[in-house]
Amino acid sequence: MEYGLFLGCIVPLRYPDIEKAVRLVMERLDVKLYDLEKATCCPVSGCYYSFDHVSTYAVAARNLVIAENLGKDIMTICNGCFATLFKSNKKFKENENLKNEINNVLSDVNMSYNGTIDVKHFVQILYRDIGCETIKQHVIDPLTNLRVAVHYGCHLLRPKRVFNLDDPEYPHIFDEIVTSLGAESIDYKLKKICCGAGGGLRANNPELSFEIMKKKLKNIKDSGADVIVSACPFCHLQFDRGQFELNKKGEEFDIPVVHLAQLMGLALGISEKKILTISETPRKKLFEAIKV
Amino acid sequence: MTGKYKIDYALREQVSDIQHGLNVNQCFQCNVCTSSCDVARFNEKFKPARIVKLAILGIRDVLEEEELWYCTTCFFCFDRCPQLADPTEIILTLRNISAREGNLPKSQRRIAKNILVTGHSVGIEKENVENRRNLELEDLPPTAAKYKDAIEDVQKILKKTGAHKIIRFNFDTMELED
Repeated sequence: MEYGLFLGCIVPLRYPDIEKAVRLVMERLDVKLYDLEKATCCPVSGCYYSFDHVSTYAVAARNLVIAENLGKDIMTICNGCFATLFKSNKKFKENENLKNEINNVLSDVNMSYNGTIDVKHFVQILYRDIGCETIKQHVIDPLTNLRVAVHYGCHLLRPKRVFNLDDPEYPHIFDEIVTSLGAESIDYKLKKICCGAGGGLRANNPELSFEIMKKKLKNIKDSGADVIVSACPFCHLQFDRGQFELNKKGEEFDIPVVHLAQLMGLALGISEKKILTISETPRKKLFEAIKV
Repeated sequence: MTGKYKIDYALREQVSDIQHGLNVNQCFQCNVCTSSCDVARFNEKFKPARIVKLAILGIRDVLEEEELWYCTTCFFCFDRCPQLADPTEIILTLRNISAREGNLPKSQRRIAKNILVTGHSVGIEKENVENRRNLELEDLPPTAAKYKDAIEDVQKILKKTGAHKIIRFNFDTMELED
């Protein structure tokens, strides 16, 4: 199995420990990753798609061309990158006029997109292409008794009419991956609500954005979870830095936050010192829980 | 609603033109979108159904409302809309029109500028280079962060689409205007 790894922005430039985890975990699962050299921001939908659809498609198309030139499907490790690139790719495949319009823009940088590759999400690749049985076979240190609060993040599930990866009302694929690592995926109130960061809200109105996040964090705290896991670095950043910000205002949150690749790394026997090195919210509770 | 509004029925066509196949008129105001909305739980002024209604009625004031920028794009309403009116896409398309009228929030313009200047939405910090080194990763990722010609590509692309005009970015100073 081979993919072009689309890094995006937040992982390589804020949480490179996630990048390391992705690379090591995929190596263990015998998946070969190729770097998409010279890739840029996807571009971030909450910003670019909000002010100009065509600019969004054009920058996305340039990223797709990089993968097409390598002849590889794209693996995204972020819900935001997945949404932008998947949606753009689907549009180009379905709408010849749009593809021609965008290729006209790309001609200025001597590029052209033919629409020969697919865009896949990390969770989708684990669940559909690799499969939970294979993951189980690679587990060295099962995460027994670990109580995990899964946060799907909006753009892994919705819009279903576009992505069609899981039932957005009763999703299960992420929970099954977590369970295959030996951990327990716990239920909590309003599990499907947004982290509050998307659509530009975190930048435009942090108070409102944090109110949504606080509700989610309170429910997770009440559930007694040992860790929050997502497969979206923007949700990850929201929860990790957000708890730190909320605590400055008198709240008491200390729920460790990890990307699915990092949780998998632990179960696959990779030392936390190699893949869990950067966080605002301490991860001590998680490390203690897995050592019991 | 009280007072005088700027009525312009062309607004709904404008929305449909930007987003092919999007039909604002599908909406019959059932309010499933508003009751599915994570933001509406916390802010009583933000109501997706109301935004769609204003678009249908051609009330251009919606383009100047701060609430237009409160949607987190969670797409709950998009999936649950019984009329397939795509409320999230309507909001995002109204944002496109609003941005052209100079209402793009400054925070959004700054992020857009980052991509024009660096190719990425967030900047390169010294601390991150050290973090990468400690993880035995290359100092700079193999992206636009490392290859400057990638940034030139993005600039050429966005110059052609006119993104710089919408965000009011000056290529001579490489800064936002005002």
